[in-house]
Amino acid sequence: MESRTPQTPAELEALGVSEAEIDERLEQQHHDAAFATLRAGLQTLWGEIDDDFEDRSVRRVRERLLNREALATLGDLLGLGLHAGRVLFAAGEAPEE
Amino acid sequence: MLRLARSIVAGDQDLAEEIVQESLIKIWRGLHTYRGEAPIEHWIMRVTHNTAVSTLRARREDPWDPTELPEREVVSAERSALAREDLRALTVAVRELDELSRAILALREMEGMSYEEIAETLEVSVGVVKIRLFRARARLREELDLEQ
Repeated sequence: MESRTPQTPAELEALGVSEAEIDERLEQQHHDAAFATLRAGLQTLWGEIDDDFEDRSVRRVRERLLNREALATLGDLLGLGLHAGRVLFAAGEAPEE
Repeated sequence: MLRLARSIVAGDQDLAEEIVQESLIKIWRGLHTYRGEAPIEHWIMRVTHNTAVSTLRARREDPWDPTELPEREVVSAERSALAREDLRALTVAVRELDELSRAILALREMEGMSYEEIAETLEVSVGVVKIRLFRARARLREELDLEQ
């Protein structure tokens, strides 16, 4: 089984690494030319957003909210004691015998 | 939000968009619970992170096949500064990172957040942010070097 990544300063110190050393290594990585290439790769994988994303999201969120509102309304109706078959029938489904 | 969601689901564009939409709905419905103690961007990112993680956990039984990459990733590889095979290696490497490390990478490298801001957003300690970031960068670089 894979070992757990050390998470606390105490765990790090147990491994002989201080928080100051981690800071220093992070800074080195930040200025590492090779990491600029990696960052460009991450940008390609995660960063690009197509022009239609916003419109698409707004439309889908609206649809999903409306569906949830419809479900909530159905739930309210059922909660009022109306027969489920009548509600489904009203929604376009054939009622069960 | 999309960048963070993508990082956590390791590049699955359709799933990332679903997560953003679900997060927007949660934000819309839960806006009254925002206490204003942190910048709203951090709260939005936290909702997105939590939604992505819970979505992934719900789908955990669906194992990922490393030979199948989402089509849109392959298309964008044509425009990348990295060679196609290096981008494929990077894709595999980021999928092998844990979700928290991917989220930290995205917030640091894509959004430019400070360690403290990331810690506050993801509700972990600054030490965790630094260690995971260091390990993740080192791992990715190692994986790419192997391919060069």
